[in-house]
Amino acid sequence: MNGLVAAFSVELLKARRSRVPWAVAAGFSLFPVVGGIFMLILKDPERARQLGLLGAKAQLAAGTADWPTFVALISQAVAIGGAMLFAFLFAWLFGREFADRTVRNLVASPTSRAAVVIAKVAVGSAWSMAIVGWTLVLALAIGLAIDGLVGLPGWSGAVVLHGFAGAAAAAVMTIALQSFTAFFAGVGRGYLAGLAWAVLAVFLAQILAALGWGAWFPWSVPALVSGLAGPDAEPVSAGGVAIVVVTAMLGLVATIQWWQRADQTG
Amino acid sequence: MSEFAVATFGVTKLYRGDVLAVDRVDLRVARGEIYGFLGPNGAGKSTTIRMLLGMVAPTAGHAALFGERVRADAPAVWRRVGHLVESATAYPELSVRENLEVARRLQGVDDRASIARLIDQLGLVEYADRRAGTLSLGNLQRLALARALLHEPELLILDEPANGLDPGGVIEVRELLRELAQQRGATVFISSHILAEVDRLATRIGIIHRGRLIEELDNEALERHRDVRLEIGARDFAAAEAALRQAGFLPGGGDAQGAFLELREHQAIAAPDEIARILVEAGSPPTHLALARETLEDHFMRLTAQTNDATEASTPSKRADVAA
Repeated sequence: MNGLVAAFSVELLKARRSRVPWAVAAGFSLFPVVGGIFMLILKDPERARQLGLLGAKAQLAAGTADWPTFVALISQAVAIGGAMLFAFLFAWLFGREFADRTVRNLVASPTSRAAVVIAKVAVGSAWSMAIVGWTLVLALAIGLAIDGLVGLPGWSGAVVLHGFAGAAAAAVMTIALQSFTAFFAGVGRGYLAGLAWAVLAVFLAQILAALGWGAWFPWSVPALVSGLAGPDAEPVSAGGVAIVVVTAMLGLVATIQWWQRADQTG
Repeated sequence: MSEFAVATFGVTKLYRGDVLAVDRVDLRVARGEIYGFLGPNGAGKSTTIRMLLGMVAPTAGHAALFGERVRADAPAVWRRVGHLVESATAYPELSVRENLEVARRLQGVDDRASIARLIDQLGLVEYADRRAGTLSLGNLQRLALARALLHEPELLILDEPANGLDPGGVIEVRELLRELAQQRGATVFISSHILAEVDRLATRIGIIHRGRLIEELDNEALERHRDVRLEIGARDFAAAEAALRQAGFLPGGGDAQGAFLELREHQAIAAPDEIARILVEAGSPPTHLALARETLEDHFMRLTAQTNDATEASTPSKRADVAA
């Protein structure tokens, strides 16, 4: 493909210089910090009230202060929060070319439009996975720190590995599905349509998961993989995973086709 | 190998809502020409340029660059083309140097020194490490021109390249484009509202109005088409006019509000001194005697006004033809 390496290096340069990918990383970093605070509160609610971490009459329904709860909390935060935060990144990657009217410099270039789209998806995916990796490492460090300070029972390498593997798998699926955010950012020629789509997808995912159809709706599957439905829920089938893969590919093809065919009047 | 750097074949664009932006335009721009593409706002200049650059798909007809049909999925031709479409744009968070680095990579230019060369050539040295988002409009335009020139293109398609430039910048860009055409044989396709600039630079001119190419003419033809007249001022216009009529001329204009008498006869234009003699001998010596040449702007205004009149006289619409 014409200029894929060049397009990738250009997208990486733009991402490094922009605040948006760093803001997304900062947003993700809040998950383990908040998870850690929850563990401290659950461990000793009275002391948390004295420290002002918990309101006088407030109760936390997150469960108990232990490693399985902490890992599940992080895993679900990555799956659900990721759906919005990754959407910010992808809406920016694609929408900014229209908002800044720089798309005109990309479409009449020896680097093919397909290469530009694939490079954006590749940079967005790599950046997102790096953020997930950092978040899980940070979560582990915070969990160990709390364990060392006040004690966090239930440590098991298998529990942590299984929980974080679920979070990573959910993140990979959520990232793959951002091809639709990219598509709508193009069609809407800016950030808003991509973000609006992401909000709608999260809303529909919640509704359909509540109705019991989540395993067949691509945007519900990542949350189920992360263990949101609880330990007794049926595991997501290979068919459910295949739906996510096919949907993500459809989104990518649609995005490339739109960039190839749509009039660029911006 | 095509002799034309740019060619369009009945290229037409009908936007949704029955807006006919460009109507069966046939352009031919030979290699090495500087082609001035003129038209009032909304005439279809930018849409035509976007069709040349594959940014907008024609509803009918097609465009070709160097004999190769312009297609969104055939990007190789853009190695030979530099462009600047409407207002200059850049990545605001990147510096001038980084914006050019982006262009260098996307254009597949191996020569890293080309960036420093262009920064120097376009007078951007002191802004090289400044973020593009903080540049003035004129410097942003210089950056956009540098990007268009970075890969030493054989064809430059420039839409309003003098936008935001100060008078010195306008002259620099004019000289740069002229040098590119004369010394490197580059073809320049330029649209501009500054008609005096186009008049100085272009070797051929096309005028588009209401989506149609209404006139195409080279420098020689433009000279022939130019309205040239001898303007005469006098204290007593009636006496001066009578003297000129008696000498066989047909003066026009002239009034007490200060408008000049005008002669368009070749004999008067070739020998203004003879006209002065006639007036002096008639006792009505001229207070002003000058040859006035129609500028490209005057020619453009006259032509578009004529087209407006003709269109209003002969309606029904051409839109139906194209839509059909």
